[in-house]
Amino acid sequence: MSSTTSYPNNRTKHIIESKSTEAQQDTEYECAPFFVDLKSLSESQLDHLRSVGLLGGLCVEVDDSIPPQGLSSKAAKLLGVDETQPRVELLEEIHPSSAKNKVVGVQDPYAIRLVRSAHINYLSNALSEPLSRGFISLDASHPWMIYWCLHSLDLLQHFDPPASGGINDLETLQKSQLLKRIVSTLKHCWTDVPLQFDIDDVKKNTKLSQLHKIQQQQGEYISSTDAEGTNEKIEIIGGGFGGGPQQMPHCAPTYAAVLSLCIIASIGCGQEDTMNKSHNPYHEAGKLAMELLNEKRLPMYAFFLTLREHEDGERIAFRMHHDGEIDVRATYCILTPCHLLGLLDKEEEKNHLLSPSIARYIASCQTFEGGFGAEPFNEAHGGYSFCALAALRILGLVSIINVEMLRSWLVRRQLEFEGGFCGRTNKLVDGCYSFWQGGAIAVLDGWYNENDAACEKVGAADDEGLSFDEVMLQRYILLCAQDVNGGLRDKPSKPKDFYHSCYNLSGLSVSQHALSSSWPPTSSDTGDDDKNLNRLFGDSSFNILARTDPVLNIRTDRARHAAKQF
Amino acid sequence: MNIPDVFSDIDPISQSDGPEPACAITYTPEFVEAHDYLRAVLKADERSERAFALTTICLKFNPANYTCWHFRRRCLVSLCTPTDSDARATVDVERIDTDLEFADKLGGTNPKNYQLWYHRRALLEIRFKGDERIQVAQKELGYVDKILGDDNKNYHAWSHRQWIIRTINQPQLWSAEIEYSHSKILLDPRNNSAWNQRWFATHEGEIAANSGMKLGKLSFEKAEEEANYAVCGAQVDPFNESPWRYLIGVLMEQCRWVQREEGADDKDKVNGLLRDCVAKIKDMNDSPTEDYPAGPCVSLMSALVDLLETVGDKTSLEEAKNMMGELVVEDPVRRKYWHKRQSTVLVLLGKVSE
Repeated sequence: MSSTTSYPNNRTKHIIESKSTEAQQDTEYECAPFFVDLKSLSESQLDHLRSVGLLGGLCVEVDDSIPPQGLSSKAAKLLGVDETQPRVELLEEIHPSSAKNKVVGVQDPYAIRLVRSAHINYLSNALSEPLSRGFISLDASHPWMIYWCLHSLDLLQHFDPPASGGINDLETLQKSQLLKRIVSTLKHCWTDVPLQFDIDDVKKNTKLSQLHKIQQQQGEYISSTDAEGTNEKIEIIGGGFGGGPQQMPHCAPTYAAVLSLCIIASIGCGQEDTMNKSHNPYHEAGKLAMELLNEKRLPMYAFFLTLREHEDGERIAFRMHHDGEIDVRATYCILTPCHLLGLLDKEEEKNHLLSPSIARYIASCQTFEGGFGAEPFNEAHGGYSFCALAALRILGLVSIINVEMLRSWLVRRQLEFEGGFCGRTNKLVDGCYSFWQGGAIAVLDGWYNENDAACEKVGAADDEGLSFDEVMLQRYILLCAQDVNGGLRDKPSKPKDFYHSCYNLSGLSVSQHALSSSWPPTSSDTGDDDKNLNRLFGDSSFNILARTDPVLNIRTDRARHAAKQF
Repeated sequence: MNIPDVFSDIDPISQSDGPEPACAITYTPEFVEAHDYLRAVLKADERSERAFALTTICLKFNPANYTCWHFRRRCLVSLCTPTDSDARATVDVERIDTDLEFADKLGGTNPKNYQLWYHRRALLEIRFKGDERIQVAQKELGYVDKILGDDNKNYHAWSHRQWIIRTINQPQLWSAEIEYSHSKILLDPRNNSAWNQRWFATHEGEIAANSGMKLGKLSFEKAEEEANYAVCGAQVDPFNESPWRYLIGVLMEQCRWVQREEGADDKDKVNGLLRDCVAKIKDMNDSPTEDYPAGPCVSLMSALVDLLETVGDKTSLEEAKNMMGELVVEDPVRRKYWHKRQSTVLVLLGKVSE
């Protein structure tokens, strides 16, 4: 939509019409109005875009009597022009006298903006205010909702220290209160579960023996023998986070809870170098988060061990929870918290979570297309492909899969017209795959950079950055996936939600920031996080988010803080 | 059911979410009442009829409540298994089938939650142990077919089909599944899930037919058939990515095989098939029929460069390199990827020339 660049605008071609081609055509029609050349819009339409925050600059009072012209009523509504709603007037200053100079303070008046304050309102309200009864369907996903909103706000730099003073203002106090409430809520989602281990397994595993020792000291130790009295079993109290208070431990909410706690720990305790503790308004919340993580890391590890399932052919998979489904998500949801909490100690002689059999199971989920399915032979899918690749990256075993096939499949998921990604071959664009596919490409590109340093460069300067078209992706997110009233969505016809807000923003972050030189980033790789940028779409100074770690999907500074602590 | 009356002997347990929880949901009074009692029976591990009935109420509020599903299965197993030690441990199949129907109703026409599908698997695992396993499997395949009629790409549904077929592992089911995926491809050639199912059925089916001979690949004859199937699919609509990727998958699998010692005998045959396919695709590329929309076909070109690279002689690599140059222009959203691919081919070309 910039005035100088043209974007591919080829629609998908087909010879045989089918349900799939119809759906694809509908989606292209749905997105097309958002790719309109801004220079062709009337001044009143541009004013509208300024008033909702999509364009920068100040503008005079919007004349409500002139409806935006040239847009279909559907497109107008999707762009936020809703006649039934009162106009949002974001302007404090009005310059009625200078009609010609009403756009001030921006370099490119046509540069599209991320509507930051609308997103922040939507996401912080979600965390702090009661949710309507419609959210009962997410009653087993409380830690997820918290992570989606918290990580999104963190990418929007909502909890970054204010540039100047003002740490005791009401807003900061409310934020600090909110972070404490989150830690408390997550604490209430934790559930203990008694687990049986062979005494030999406990002896051989330093973490289990350590946990066992602690529990013995606390008097929680129960020894038992099985029916034949041959195999002595030890009961260890493990646990995990459930989808809500008093729910069973489940590795997906555990993943979400650990990420959230690492974020808060870093917000509250991670800026010690530059800031006096007493000056960090979030210190107390950070300390509470650290305490909870320290208390739960070993019981969590014990719980994860009991989710292992031996598949045929020397492969180890994991269940999502006891008596729950087995798929490659579980592997990722377990390895990520373990990585963050220092439970994947490579020096340890027998760490069950570093077994090559785990990587073999992941590899067996790669399909003939190149992506990964939930289980062996399932169709290649964006979510599972991300989980598989990120888990292998954590294990340091990416090389056991067919990386070239994977990269080829991943880049083919970017849609030429829309610019966003789809989840599977011949499926529709969806903003959440901005991260699942875009993030996976970033993970893979990072791996290539490390392994392929010798590869000679061919091509123009255009050949830099990620393997996909990051400008086209940013364009999709900013134009089609943003709801100007706050929140992000799958596609224009779909309602915004927390999940899509999180993964659109995460994908936006991935596409804005250049890769770090190694993963996990070395301790020397600090600072400079936000300076090394890819090509940007829209208002480049305004839209930049904090940099997310494409493997863990928390900010890189949050991940570094966890690495120092555990 | 009047819950407090039915559970008058039990003290309800409220949700302990602490002061001022974040992301708190405004529950309805009915929801709170049912879940307060659910927590109480869970704590007591009361596997009774009334507890089972309570899980029905709670699951209707939220079918994603995995804790509740787990407890429901515990109840079901306890209630289905005779407690009389003399009685043979037969399972009340009717009861299990009723619960499958319950899950069906709860899921509606397009079920997409993990819990519902896992519940079916867990129950069917019990049913598949009985004598009527084939009939039960057929009936379940019918259920999945109904779901796929509504959403022909429902991921869980296809995955569930795979699980049924590999669990039962009967030759007639394998061959029927190839036909099934074919019928779905005819209805919508871009149903990639159906193409994936064909891969599953041909591959795992062949493994099953060879009684566990796990080569992890198709025989050459089968591969030839599948390659032809894919080429036909691509000829019908070359803009459809699915048949192309199926073709590449089949051919690459054979090429990897002949690079191994035990596959060396098949080398000439496989190379012949590969070159044959390349010739056909080039032909399609050079002389498009009238049906083709104007302009180059990116799906075809992408497949062709993959195969040319696999052929690997100097001429083919040169052709691949040039076509990648065209793709930089014709497939703009992937231009950086094609640049990278070109640099890899250049390295290969250097090696060939040496």
